[in-house]
Amino acid sequence: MIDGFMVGLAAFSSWQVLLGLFAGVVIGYVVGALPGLSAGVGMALLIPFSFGLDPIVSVVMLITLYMASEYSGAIPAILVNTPGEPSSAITALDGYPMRQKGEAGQALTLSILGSAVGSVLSTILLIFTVSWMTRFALAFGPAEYFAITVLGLSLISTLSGDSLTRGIIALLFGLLLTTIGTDPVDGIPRFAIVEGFLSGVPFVSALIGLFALSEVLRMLETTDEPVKPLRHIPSVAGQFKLIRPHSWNMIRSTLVGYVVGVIPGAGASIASLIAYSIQRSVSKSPETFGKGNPEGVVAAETANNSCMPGALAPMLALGIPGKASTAVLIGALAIHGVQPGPLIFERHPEVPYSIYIALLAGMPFMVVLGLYGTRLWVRLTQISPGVITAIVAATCLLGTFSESKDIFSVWVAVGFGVVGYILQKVRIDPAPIVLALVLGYLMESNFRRAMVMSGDEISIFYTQPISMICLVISVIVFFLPILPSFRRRKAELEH
Amino acid sequence: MHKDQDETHGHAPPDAATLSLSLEISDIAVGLALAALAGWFFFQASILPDFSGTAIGAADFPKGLAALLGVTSIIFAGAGVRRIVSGRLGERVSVRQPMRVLLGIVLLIAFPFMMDAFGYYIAMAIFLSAFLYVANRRNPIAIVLYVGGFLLFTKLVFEMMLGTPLP
Repeated sequence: MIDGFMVGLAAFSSWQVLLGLFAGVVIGYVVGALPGLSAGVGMALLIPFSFGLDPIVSVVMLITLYMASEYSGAIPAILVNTPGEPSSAITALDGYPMRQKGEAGQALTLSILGSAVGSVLSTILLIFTVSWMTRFALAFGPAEYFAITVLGLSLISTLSGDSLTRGIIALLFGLLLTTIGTDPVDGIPRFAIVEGFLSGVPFVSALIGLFALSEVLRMLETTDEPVKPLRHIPSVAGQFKLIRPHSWNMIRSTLVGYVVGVIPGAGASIASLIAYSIQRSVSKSPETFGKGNPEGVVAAETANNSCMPGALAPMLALGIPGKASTAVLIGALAIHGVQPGPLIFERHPEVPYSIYIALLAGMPFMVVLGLYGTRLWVRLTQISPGVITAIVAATCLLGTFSESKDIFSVWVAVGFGVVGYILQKVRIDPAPIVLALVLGYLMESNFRRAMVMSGDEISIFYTQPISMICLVISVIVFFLPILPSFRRRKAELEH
Repeated sequence: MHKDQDETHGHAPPDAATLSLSLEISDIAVGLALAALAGWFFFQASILPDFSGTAIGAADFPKGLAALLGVTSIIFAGAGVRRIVSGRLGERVSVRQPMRVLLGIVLLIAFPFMMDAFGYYIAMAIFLSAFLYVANRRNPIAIVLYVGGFLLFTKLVFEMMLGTPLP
């Protein structure tokens, strides 16, 4: 591990990486502070810009963008009761009432300090968790990798919201799209009706279309909404002594956020909610929650920033994305020829260790920019929605073209944008599609390789213990979230 | 709390044209479209050659996925039909300001054509100006400034810093 950190530090010592870290934090603040844009959209937009950069610089920018946007979503949540990120909705429960009581400065300070502590502690947990998971994963062959991808896809039931059918449709649609291109074993072209599809559906274009352009079309519906005016911008001072009364809250919320982050499908919103609920139950004044209790702000913000390092654990150790954001990261790494999984520590050790260092080193930048740049970030919330929509649209098109230097990719992004918008209108979320685009090729190629190795015996998948365990867990993960609705329906029928 | 301090109310979106459709009709339309897509994939996969010599060839995965998608899509559409027939209509699918959304889609589709014909900078100037207008920004000076600023950003960051030539 020491050697790994030395390699990571050597990679990190270049000015490009430090500039990338700073740029990631700044862009993350902008994305998070703007209601309507999310960390996923920001990452999708940044990928094409990072294509020409070193892989370490790209990954560092994406990671720090994500961390900063998860924090900065709290700024509009506290000041104007409009979460900049979905996970900041819980922060607003007590953050906005604090602002109404004239305590906005304290709320903003506590949110940034809680985020900082959560991020640092969970990064330390990540470093030790991944090394343990990696040793386990080195025994994997094609059958095990197939089972792992099935496990990753089984979290569809947690990403589907209230309709499993819609989630399954999104997943199958995404998986079918991954069969376009060249067959992974035989090398023959499949469904390549246009020459551009011979190397498959361009991942970055599809990602930008599904996440960003579909959001642009949705934002066009509300460009005439007035911006909520903000008459007074509070000052935020570096009151580090505010940490002390909330230290146990921060530690507890960090653990909650990290564990939730490791679980596939459970995102920062769930982490914030659980941490908030736990803090309310142990608080000496639970009746004040929802009316401006700083403990609520600390719990929510600490947990949602602890979630990302947790999500990185299965990504780095096993190569499976537990969330849409880590699916984006895997896509970004794949563009640079880096495949996450246990072998990343042998083939590209500078990547994971740079990620650890970025998470730790990025935090001081984030705190300083958060505490002393509040006035700037707050002004971003006053930008007209119409301007944001148009600039994001232009950035999507520019980014898509610059990544591939090919008009075809722009067509793909526009097509996915329209399809993504229509699917969202009928409550079909794009997250399962992205997950399928990341895992589909791996699933098919490993399945077929395993079958070739076993002489076409399907029993390889249930005679290999790791494969069998993963498949059993997949079934449990798939059905567990839908059991409550079955019980509810059964109870309704009985009544 | 005095109402002057309340910044969350009194800022509701103004009334605007809204296209509204029952979720069931939308589900039926999307379900049938996806089923047709699945059918196309299944047919195309059936005529793929098999050189693998193994039990699972190039056609099998896509055929399996297409079959599953087709069946699920038909179930999805069928659930919409069942809800209509039983009178259990639920939510509605709404598109607020549908003309703006349609114009946005038209502009997005037009951009690659413009880029092919005029090059990036002219195409983006036209696209961004029109998109800002569609997105309810009507001040011509502001539009010129936003477009100019974006093109300058592109020139500085992409062509000069990242070395990505644009047509």
